[in-house]
Amino acid sequence: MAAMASIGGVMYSCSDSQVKKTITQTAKLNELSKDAGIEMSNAFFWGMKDHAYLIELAKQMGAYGAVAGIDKRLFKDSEGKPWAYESIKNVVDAWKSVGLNYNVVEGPPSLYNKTKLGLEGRDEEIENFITFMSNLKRAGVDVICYNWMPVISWARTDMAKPGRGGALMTAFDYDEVKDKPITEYGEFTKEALWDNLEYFLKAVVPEAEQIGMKLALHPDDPQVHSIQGIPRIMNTIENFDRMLEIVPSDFNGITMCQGNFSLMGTDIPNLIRRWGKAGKIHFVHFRNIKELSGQLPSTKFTETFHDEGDIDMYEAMRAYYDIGFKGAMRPDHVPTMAGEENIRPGYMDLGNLYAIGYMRGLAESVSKENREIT
Amino acid sequence: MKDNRRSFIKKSTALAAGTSLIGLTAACKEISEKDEKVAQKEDEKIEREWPIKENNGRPKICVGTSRNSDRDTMRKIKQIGVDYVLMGGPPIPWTVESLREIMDAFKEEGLTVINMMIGGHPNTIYGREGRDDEIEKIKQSLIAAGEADLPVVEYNFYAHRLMEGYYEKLGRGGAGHTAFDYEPVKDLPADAERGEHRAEDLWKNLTYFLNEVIPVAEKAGVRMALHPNDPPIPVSHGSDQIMATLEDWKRLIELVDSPSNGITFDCGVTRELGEDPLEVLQYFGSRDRINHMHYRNVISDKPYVKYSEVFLDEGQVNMYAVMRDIIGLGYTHGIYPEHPRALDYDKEHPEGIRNQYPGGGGYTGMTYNIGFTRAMELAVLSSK
Repeated sequence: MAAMASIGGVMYSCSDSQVKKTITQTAKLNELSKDAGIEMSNAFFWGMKDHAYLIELAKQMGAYGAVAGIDKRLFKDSEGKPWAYESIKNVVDAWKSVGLNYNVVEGPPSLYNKTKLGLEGRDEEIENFITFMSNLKRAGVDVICYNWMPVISWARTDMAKPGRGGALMTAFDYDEVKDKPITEYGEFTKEALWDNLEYFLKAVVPEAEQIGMKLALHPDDPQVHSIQGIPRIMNTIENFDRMLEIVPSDFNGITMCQGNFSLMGTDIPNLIRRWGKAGKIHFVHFRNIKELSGQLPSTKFTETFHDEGDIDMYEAMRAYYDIGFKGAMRPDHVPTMAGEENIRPGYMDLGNLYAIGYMRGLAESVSKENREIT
Repeated sequence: MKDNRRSFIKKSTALAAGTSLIGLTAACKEISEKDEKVAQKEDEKIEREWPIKENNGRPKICVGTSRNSDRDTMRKIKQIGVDYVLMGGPPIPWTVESLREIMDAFKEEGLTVINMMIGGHPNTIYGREGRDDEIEKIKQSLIAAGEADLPVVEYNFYAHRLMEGYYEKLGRGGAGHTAFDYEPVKDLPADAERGEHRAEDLWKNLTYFLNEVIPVAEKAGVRMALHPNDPPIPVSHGSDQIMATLEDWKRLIELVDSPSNGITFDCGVTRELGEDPLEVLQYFGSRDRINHMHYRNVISDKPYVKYSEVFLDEGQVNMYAVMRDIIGLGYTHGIYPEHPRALDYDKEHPEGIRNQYPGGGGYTGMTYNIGFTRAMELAVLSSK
């Protein structure tokens, strides 16, 4: 009896309709501000089996974007070409079947050394790449993240540098690779790489425009001038501006990798605004770095947790909000954390979980500070 | 609001604007701060405070841990970027030595203890013989806390806690929510040992307790934080709950008028009452009576009766506004994003889940919560 009266008493202390009104308003505002409309995503480069935990976590976090290559293990026909529609459709469907949305191809097929170094057979590669773009679009994916790093791609010199609380971080120091021998491909000039890039863009961008495929060139990582005789050209802001001018198009765009652009000595929030307003940012790697060499582009860096590096992540997120970015964004190169075996440095599970929480908190905040809350 | 880094930015943009806008008409006054920033050259770095550090003028994101935590546990906390911890204190009476031993062990790993829960006062709650002895021990403990620089001591004052109403409800991707329903458990019989207790008696006992300890706490420079009834329901096993309504919380801080007599503000529990977390935060915060804070989100189906504790990014609490307003009030104590959700990752790892709540999670869930909370704190400290 006492309980009933007490419940009744409190229930009526604030009117039901008033309570419902504020609750509904808040829930609506929360929904509107969710992730500022950005597609929160994760990278799954090692395939579904190795990323089983991350797939599960992604769904529980509600970060449904899946970024990966065209994984042959998902083809029904094991002999299928990765640019064939059936193959691509198998991959898209496989991601859908685990509850995720395959939204960006990072590391596309048929864009390898022949095209980047201008070797024999590049026309065939480019032809297949164009076929790939067309079939990919048909399968429902419209962003390709690619790079211009032939032979030697992503490179780090330390995969287990102790960070805060003993977390393991990835790091690079040019001094450790500068004396390595040149590769079997020999030496190339920067101008040769430019010529090859120009050849590629002129062949591909008009097709991408027709198809509606957003090309998002990733900066060189690391963005030093040369490694083992292979030069790097996508390693300065000026060079990116030059690249964008070769074939000006909304579909000739950029992957805003905050880490590498920051290492070129630029202010990331301002760069996001400039390229964002020009419509060039198609995909984002939300990432942070510290311990630079002082030279530009930096010859040294360590990849940190999102909240402790040199880049002002709040201002960066505000810039994405201001330019109205609604595409895919993923954390990149997260520290390996307690209890994790460091088998995929930069791509373990808990670091991504922390990063998604952080990105989401920032996105919701910048979204809400621009709405008047009643 | 202290430590607002917008002032840094204003200074530097004003300087930049001063040189670039010379000779322009008054129309330039209409250029918003945002536009000015866009107009800046990208190599022109704005002077900003980054990374933002928590300090004495700011709130402190914290997590709970055992006072006997080993080094690995402490380092796991450091990994998620947390520098402050809270825990259940040692048995009363606390001594400066017993507290320093604990606090120093955490300090060695870069963690500062900002809050200990004090307990061991059942006779005080029930108004039984022996309460004066308990109260004496608590007073000694508060003095020790003051000397050991422990700023906040949290406590409970419930006759009984209705744990039976909790159950796990699955949310997105099968993650566990901690749901509660009062209906099936509201008439559970009294506990033979604890008996039934009426609100007026409990209030008398609480008043007696506060009159004794708050002056001691105030003198020791320690703030006490009474944890609300959680679940916030009227009766548990026949015993009234006296910290389960907004009126109760208001009454508490009026019993003894001192900043040492404060509450643990829980924005989730507040919503469970059907109250507006922002209004309640303003009420207690503007009176400087929020001495600790729980940062959670909920979906309330019926106030005082049925609700689910959900992820921070879903639910009926505007977590951004809570963060904005608490920082706006100059709050400097703990923000604890407690009760993380049960993620399969924790369920599938040994000792992943170590809590008493159905649908409650472990370190992985907390990792997500801290990322989210840290970002909101950063955003508020960075914005106007």
